[in-house]
Amino acid sequence: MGLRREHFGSLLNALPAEISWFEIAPENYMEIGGKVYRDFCQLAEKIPVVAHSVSLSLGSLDPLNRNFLKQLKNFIRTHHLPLASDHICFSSYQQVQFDDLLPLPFTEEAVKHISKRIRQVQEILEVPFAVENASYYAPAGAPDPAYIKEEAFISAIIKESGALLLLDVNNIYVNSVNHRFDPYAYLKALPLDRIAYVHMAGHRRKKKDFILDTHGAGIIHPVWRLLDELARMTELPAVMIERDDNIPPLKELVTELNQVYSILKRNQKYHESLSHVAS
Amino acid sequence: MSLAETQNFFFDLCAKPDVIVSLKKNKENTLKKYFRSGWDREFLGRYDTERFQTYRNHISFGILGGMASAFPVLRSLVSDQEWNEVLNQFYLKRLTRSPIARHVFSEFSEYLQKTYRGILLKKLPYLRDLAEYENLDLKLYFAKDTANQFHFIDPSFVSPEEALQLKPVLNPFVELRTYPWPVHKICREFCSPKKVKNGKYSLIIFRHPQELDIRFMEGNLLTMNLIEALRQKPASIQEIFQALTKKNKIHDLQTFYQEGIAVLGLFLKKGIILGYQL
Repeated sequence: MGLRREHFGSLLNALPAEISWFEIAPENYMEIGGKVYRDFCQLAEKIPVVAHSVSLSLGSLDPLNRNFLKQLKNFIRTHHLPLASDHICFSSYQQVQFDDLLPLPFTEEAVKHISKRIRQVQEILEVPFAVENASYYAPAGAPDPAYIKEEAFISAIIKESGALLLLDVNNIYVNSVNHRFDPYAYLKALPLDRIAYVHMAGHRRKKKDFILDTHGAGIIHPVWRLLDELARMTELPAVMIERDDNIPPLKELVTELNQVYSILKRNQKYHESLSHVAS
Repeated sequence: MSLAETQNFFFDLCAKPDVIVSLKKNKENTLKKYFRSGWDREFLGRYDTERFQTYRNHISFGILGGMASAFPVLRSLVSDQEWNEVLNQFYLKRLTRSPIARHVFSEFSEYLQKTYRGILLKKLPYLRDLAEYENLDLKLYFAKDTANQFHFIDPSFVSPEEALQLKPVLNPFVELRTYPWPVHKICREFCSPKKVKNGKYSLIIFRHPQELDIRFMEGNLLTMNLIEALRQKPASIQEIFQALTKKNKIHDLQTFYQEGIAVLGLFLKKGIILGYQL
């Protein structure tokens, strides 16, 4: 589950058995002290935590922010975080930092550029690194003449950078509505064997064909169906719930986690039966 | 399209409000400024401007939401329109270099101190000081912990003479401020410039060593001077008192020592000093 400060009290009081690890935005816990950091440290001692950054700006034309990477590396080392990740996007330009994930064009140039930077980040951080498929509302230009689709773009980055894939199922659904494609066909084209873990989240529908990726609502049925299909296609290492807005009581998120477990369990049986037939 | 074209476009889209206005007026012409290829322009032109606006909205709404929680008192004193205006003005000048989102709060406070010349300064003459005070609260709340481990002596276990040789250890998260306005009292019910009197208000603002929340205490000449002295190199109570009586030309040493000891006891109780060392 995504760790939220709103839940610190409940989590420190009694950690639900359903939660076996946390994902954090390291930017919120790096280079701080005080109560938030103390609470974080107490939780990080009890349960594994992975770092999911939002500001490495992997696709930016700016130089990598090495000072920030150094701080991130220290943080990862201090808390023994086993995995780090960020998004396939850019979030800074001309050294100005935006608090948003801005889209990249689905081109060979972008694949080469971001892959090189991901390799550099991996070398600096010295932990396995994953990149996430981001949602986007307007594309960063047209597909190039070779017509790289989003799923091919992501696959090429994973191949060229050697990174793992942090697959956000909600983002696939959001993009499939916003940009009118078949999310199931999209799933099939991805390197599923490179999945580090999966994000599940809710969103807000503004119009019939326009969804905002808010992480501020419960997960809807079509997104659960996509997860079910994904879990049928491959055995998933881990799945987590992201909630960044309209934070509900912990209990509500644990209910969603239980739904994840039931999907994974059902599909595990399916995979077991397949291997049984094969043997 | 090239990466550079794309990044120029989204940079302007997020940083310059006139790009949205221009997109709404004439999408094709606006896109022409950024994308050389007609195919790119045609492809992007198929998307509603609302989609592009979402990026700018995300950033500005993110800032609006964050600022309201970081400056709760200031926010409570202005209308939605006034708040949005001041943040928009800040946003237009803001060129943040930090990948850490919370740094924007200090940038906003600094903007209000150094750059802002808007109408709110008339409505809230204490605006700058209030923003600085609220930002200081955040700064202390998130300040990095110090690694010092102290072994403290309980002064009640030593004689009064020996107690004077103990060295008080100041909480490292103590700030002293003297504001021209009673910023610590300002709230919706006490915000009218007619009520809020200009003057000299000394505050000791600190992070409680155990609870880690931010507290304050009104300061006076003795408490402020004492903390200033404690900030210098470690010194015994006696050395500190001697220096203070000399500096302030105090002749009634007995009364001063009694008051000083009482203040140190209060500081210890409140968490302004952490304890005493030999």
